Amino acid sequence: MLLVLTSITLLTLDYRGFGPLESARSSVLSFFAPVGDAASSVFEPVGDTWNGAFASGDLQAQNDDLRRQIDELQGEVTAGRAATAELEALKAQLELDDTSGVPVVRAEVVSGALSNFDESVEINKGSSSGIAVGMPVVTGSGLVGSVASVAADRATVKLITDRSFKVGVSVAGAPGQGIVEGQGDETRLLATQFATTTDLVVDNILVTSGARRSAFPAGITVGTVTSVTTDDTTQQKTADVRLSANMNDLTYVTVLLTQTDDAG
Amino acid sequence: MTAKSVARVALVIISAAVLQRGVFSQVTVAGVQGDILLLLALAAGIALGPERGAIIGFVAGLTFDLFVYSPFGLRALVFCLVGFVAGRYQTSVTRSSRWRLMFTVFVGSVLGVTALALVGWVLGVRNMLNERLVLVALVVAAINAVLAPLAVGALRWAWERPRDATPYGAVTYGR
Repeated sequence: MLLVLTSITLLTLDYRGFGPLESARSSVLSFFAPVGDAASSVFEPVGDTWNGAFASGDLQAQNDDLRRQIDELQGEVTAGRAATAELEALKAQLELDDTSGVPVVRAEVVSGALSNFDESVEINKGSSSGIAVGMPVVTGSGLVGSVASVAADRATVKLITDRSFKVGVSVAGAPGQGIVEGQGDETRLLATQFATTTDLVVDNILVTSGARRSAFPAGITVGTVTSVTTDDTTQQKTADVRLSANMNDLTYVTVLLTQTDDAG
Repeated sequence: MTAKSVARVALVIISAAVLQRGVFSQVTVAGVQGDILLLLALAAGIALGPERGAIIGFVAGLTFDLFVYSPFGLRALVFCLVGFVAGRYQTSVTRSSRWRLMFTVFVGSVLGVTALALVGWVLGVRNMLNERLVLVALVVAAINAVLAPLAVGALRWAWERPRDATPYGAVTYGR
């Protein structure tokens, strides 16, 4: 009974943001980082062999799929350059903020999630590089998550696919704001709380809205709308969103060193 | 409990945490990691009784809580209960074998993972109760069942029994 009460007390303290618990987590993150790295370097080949042995059929299918994607992407590279220039021009025209002025830290992803219920990765940079909890993490394709805990040279990033992840978004180039939530799916997000008056249609690009006190600057690409439904009862629009960032290939990420009190 | 036992139990738990951090995050089955700290809670209950199971489960859960960003104390609460319930169940068992141990750990792991997801969901951790829960529970249970004899052996080594004490459980495993 005493242990149960202690657990409940710890849960309560954690919900209230009790500082020493965060410090304890940071210390453990630091302590186990070299241990984890050493063990990972030994066991990663074992893991690769194991996963390769049990996923050979999938690997063949993935190879075929990747070859097809290379063909498609080669064709899209040229179009992409033109589109980038066009996007920059449109951003300037629509007075959308961009993140070019925000200082950044580039980091390598050193580990995946440490439990079956977390959608997270661990990166090899931490508070000594200026990283703090709540800062947004991006790749060239868009938003991938935010910093969940940080130690001196290590940080845990909660991915955008996590069901507890929420971020305010707006439609690029159009009025209307909503919230995007992770769905535990590597490619799909859910956008909610758009007013029915919002002109939200398929192929709209959603970007972070950069609300006041949010850690996320405006204009970070989140995803593309794939379907829209309207709920007349709640007077809200909901949309399925295809994630812009490729969550299967997170090797390097960029942390935006924003200064805010709140994440989301 | 002697200082030697405390040191040995701490060593077992830290070793398990290192294995969880370094090995089980790399080697997955169907994308699911083993949960060796849940195994420790179950093994402690089975090998050492309900009270010790609850204590070791609590410490193992607390250790795991330090690694992840889910609410601090969630695993401590669930693993503590898992260790206690496993110990209570074990006191009712009069005959046993290695297979029965593995089966007990399998069922306990399924219940433990499910309890973790349910308590997490109640506390607002929405990502725990999802469509992968059954797969996660079964894979974790299978891995834990295979490793159960090792975990029981490690904990019996760690928690030395006083010479004049009665056995922790009515049965022994490994035959």
